[in-house]
Amino acid sequence: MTILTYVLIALIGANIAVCTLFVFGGAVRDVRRRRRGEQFATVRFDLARILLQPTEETTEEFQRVRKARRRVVLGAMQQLAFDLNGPSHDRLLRLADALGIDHHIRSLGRRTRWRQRCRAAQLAHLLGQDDPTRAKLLADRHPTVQAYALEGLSRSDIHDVYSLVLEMLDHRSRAVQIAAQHALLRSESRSLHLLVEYLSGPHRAGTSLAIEVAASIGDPRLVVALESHLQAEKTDTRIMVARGLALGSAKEAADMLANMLADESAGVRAEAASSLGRLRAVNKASAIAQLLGDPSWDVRRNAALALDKIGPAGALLLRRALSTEDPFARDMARQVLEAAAARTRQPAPPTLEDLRATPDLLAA
Amino acid sequence: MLTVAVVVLASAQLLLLISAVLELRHVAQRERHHVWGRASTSTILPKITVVIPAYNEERTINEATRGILALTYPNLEVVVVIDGGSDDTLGELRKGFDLVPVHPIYQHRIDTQPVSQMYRSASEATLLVIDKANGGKADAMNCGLNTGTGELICFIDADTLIAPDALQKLAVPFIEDEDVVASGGMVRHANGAVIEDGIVTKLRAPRNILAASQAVEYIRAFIVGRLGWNKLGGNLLISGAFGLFRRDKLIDIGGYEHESIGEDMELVVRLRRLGYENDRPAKVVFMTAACSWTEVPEALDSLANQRGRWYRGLIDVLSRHKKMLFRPKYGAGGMLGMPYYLIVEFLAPLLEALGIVLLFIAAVRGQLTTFTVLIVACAYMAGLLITTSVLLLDELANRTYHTASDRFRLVLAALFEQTIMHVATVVWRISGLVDAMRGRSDWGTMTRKGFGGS
Repeated sequence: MTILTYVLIALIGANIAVCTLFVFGGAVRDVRRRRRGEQFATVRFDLARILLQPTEETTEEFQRVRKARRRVVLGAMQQLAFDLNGPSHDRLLRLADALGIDHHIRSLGRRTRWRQRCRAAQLAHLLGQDDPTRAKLLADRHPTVQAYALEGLSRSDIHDVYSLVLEMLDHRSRAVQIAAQHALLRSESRSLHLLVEYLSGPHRAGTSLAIEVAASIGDPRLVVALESHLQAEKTDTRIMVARGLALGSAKEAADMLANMLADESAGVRAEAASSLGRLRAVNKASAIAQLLGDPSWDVRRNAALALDKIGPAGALLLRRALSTEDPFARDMARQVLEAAAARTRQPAPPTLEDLRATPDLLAA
Repeated sequence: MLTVAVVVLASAQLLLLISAVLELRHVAQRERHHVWGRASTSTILPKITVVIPAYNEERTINEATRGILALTYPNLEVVVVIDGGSDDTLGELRKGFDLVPVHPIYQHRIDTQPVSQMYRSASEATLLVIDKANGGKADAMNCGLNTGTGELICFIDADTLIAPDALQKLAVPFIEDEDVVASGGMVRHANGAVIEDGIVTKLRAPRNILAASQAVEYIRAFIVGRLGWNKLGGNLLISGAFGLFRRDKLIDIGGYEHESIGEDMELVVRLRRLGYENDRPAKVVFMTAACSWTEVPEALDSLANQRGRWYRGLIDVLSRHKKMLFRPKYGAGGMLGMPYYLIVEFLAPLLEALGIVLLFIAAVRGQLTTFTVLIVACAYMAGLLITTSVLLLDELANRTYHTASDRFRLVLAALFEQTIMHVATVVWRISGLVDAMRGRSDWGTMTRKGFGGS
């Protein structure tokens, strides 16, 4: 009985303690978070002022930053490093060196625990471009560290390791694949021939990702490389090829896209029609008009919108579709023509005279 | 006997709580280091079809649909299935999204009630609306399975709002592991919350005590009952309000079971059972970071009806899949998950009801001993400690409620939930059992206030 009484008292006490922590712990955490935010803002401001002055190591701000918590300084420097480039970025790197941050990052990069190496990878862009730690982190045995190292690469860095980044598209880890893809999207166009080479080769694990990159870059040089993937097995890949061909704006692209209008997948047909519209391919307008009777609503819609985009020739075909027997083609053509008419009926933007005559409008 | 029951039940809850703590720690570490956030705009993410079954949802349907269309997921398709009904859900959608009728063409892979018309929106290219004859929620969701084109399919209730990045978070386990067939997210209350454009911008503790105690109950159920099972591998339930599945796997098993009253749990149990039987592990995971909000009932009759129905659903699932119970062949599902649902979720309320009646009789006769009173007090205090610990855990992990007054209101709600509501739930469950024995299989009615009404 006595034991039970003690158990009950203990349970009541535990409940009170947990409830107090729940109700007031959050408030304490809020205060701490606010204080940390203030410290961060101060350090960031000090760093910005140091970077504006010629002799960074002698200033009062430098002494304050030196005394601040390393975690806060690292966070502020990390954020500044992403915002700065050119001489300011170089000065920031020198400042990191003066504060001993380089040494700290290199030491983190040597640790056995992958989470600490992750931190090093996150901060690696505060190291000099030729620092061996950066290359070491890119080749780390843990995929997350590699992914972070890839994320830290700047535009010019990527050019130096472009082949390596392309290889990382085939990595077994999705995290690395995605980071590599994002790095390629940030890269400069002078390394594009390597991407063309990669895409022209045999199908690999990262081919779809590379096609996505090519589709987003939209350079005419990539059209030839995309051609070899017109018959790709995966529907998503073919959709991406269709999208990429439109961005390339090459003449051959229109012919390839016209072939894709007969693809078995509605998604591919819809994307091909849309891309032809973007290319303003007048000579393919009649092929697009055939799709107004497609069983898929998406294909019909994209075809009608593409015809609208093509201009007078497309509009003529849309008006012709108004008298076809297919009610769905008729309906889609009517909708797009109505939308186009509504667009042209929109009031014209006010002229300078209108604005002068109506001060309210000018204020707005 | 009473002591043994109390110790067994408290131990089961404690074990799940410890497992949830470990899992939350793991989740926090993964969140800190995963790089999926950067892929949120990439079409590398698999296409998701979001199916919203709607039956008399004219008050909430536009807000819910707008919330889904505002999600940041890059590869999304939204299918609203209007399952008959007597209100003007379709009219509301017509007004809100400028619907135009389209070809009713789709692959009829699972039998459903006939589709009368399909609509596309002139303003939202990814929205598809299906108007069909009434066949129940399972039928509407099966219709969404037939018409959707995504690799993954997400079912959400029309009275549910989801966080802008919730689908990205739910999709992560599918990309990381081919064996994952379903993932579920956290469901919280929307009552009292500040809602802008279909998104909950600030969560407040509800002022209505019933809603507040359900808020506490939901947090406990999702942290202990779902997250706790992640590590143990016994997850058997993805909430019907918000879950993501591999579409081909659902089609392979014939979609939702029309006859089942607990169709969401039945589906997951069947997925896992067939996975074990075909030697293809079917993993089910719970993602605490993927958040959604739903309107919880504030009226006593709606709540009673809902709880009774959930209990009937549990009985239905346990009886359909009793073969899994205590069979090593079914792994953690058969050895841990199903026995837990049988003992803790099904039998415990019956024992508790019996205990309450016996206590009452003993009290009337003046035979109540100090020992019994102490045991009962300890049991309720232990239950309360688990609830308050879960609240604290949720606060540490997710930082859900922003003011001390909100958190204090939840503590009061936890006290109410552990005492009055707990006893009421036992009564509603008994009534659910009686209904199940009588063969009742309908859903009953639930009055909604709508998101603007809270």
